[in-house]
Amino acid sequence: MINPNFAKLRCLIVDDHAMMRKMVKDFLEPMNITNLVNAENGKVAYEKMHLNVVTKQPQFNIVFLDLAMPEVDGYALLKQCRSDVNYDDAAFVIITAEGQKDQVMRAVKIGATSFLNKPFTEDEFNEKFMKVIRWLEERKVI
Amino acid sequence: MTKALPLNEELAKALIESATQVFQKALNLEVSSQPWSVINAPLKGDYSGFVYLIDFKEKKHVATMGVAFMDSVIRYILQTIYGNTVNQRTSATHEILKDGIGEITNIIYTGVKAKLNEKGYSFILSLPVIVEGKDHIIRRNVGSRSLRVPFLTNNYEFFIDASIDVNPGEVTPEKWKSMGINNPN
Repeated sequence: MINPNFAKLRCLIVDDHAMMRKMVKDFLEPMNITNLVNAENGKVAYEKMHLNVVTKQPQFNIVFLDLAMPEVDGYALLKQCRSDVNYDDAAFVIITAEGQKDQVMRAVKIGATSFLNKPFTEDEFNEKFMKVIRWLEERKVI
Repeated sequence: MTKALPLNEELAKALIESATQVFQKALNLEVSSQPWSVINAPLKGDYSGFVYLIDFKEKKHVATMGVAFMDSVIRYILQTIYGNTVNQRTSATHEILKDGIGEITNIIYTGVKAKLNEKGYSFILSLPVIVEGKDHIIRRNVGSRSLRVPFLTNNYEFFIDASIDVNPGEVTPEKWKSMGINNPN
C-alpha cells in the first residue's frame, strides 16, 4: 500500500468538523503522507491554495472536501478552483454523508475527482484513495 | 401534499440503522439499540446535538431530531478517535466534544433523511445545533411526541430521537441560510 511517492503528496483537508479532519489525517499518516494542511471552510481553503499560486509553491495534490460548510461551502470552492488552470492537477475528493446522490452528481459535474460517503471505514477510504492516486498518475502529477 | 411523517417502525428503523452504521463504521464501536418508544418527555443530557427536518416541497419545519449523551458517555465514544485526550478537562477538549457531537449528529441524520426520502419524502436538514450543560433538557413544542431509541455501548447509554411538530412551522427560503442551509436544491 505504501508507495515512496506518497511522501511527496501534499493534501488539504477541508471540513468544518475537526473530528472528520482528524479521521482523514489518521488514515493518511500510516501511508507515509504527512504533508497535511487543514482548513475549516472553503474560504480558508481557497486562501491556502491561492497562497501556493502567489508564492509559487507546489499546489496541493489532493483536496479532501466536505460539501456542507458554513461561509464558503464545498461546491463554491470546487467551482472556483475548476475555473482556474492553476488548480487543474489537484484531485478533489468529496466527503459527504451517505445518501446524498444528487449532491455527489452535482459536485462531479463541477469537477470533483471522486467521492467518499460518510461514515466510512479505513478500507473504504484506502480504496477510494488508490483510485485518486491512479488519477494523479495518469496526469503524471506523481 | 406531502405525506405526514409518522412515529412508527419505519422511522425507528431509519434511526437505528443510520446510528448503528455511524458508530460501527466511523467510530469502530459496538452499539446495540434497545426497544424504542413513543413518549412525551424532553431529551436529557450533558451534551446534545439536533437538526431541523424540513419538508422541502411544503417549505415546513416538520421535525426536530437529536442525540443526547452524558459527559462520561461522549468522552468514552470519542476516545476511539482522540485517545485519552478527551478525558482532560480543558477548553480544547470541550471544543473537541462539541465538534464531535456536531459531526455525529450530522452523519446520523443525513443518513436518516436519505432513508426517508427513498420512501417518497422530500426532506432537507439544517446544520446541527449543539447544546451543552449538565443535565440540560431539550423541550419540544407543546403536545409534540418523540420516538426515542436508547443505545448501549459497553454499558454506557445514550439516546437518539425524532420529535414531530404538531403544528409544522413555515420555513421561508430567507430562513434557510440562518439554519445553515446554503444549497437547498
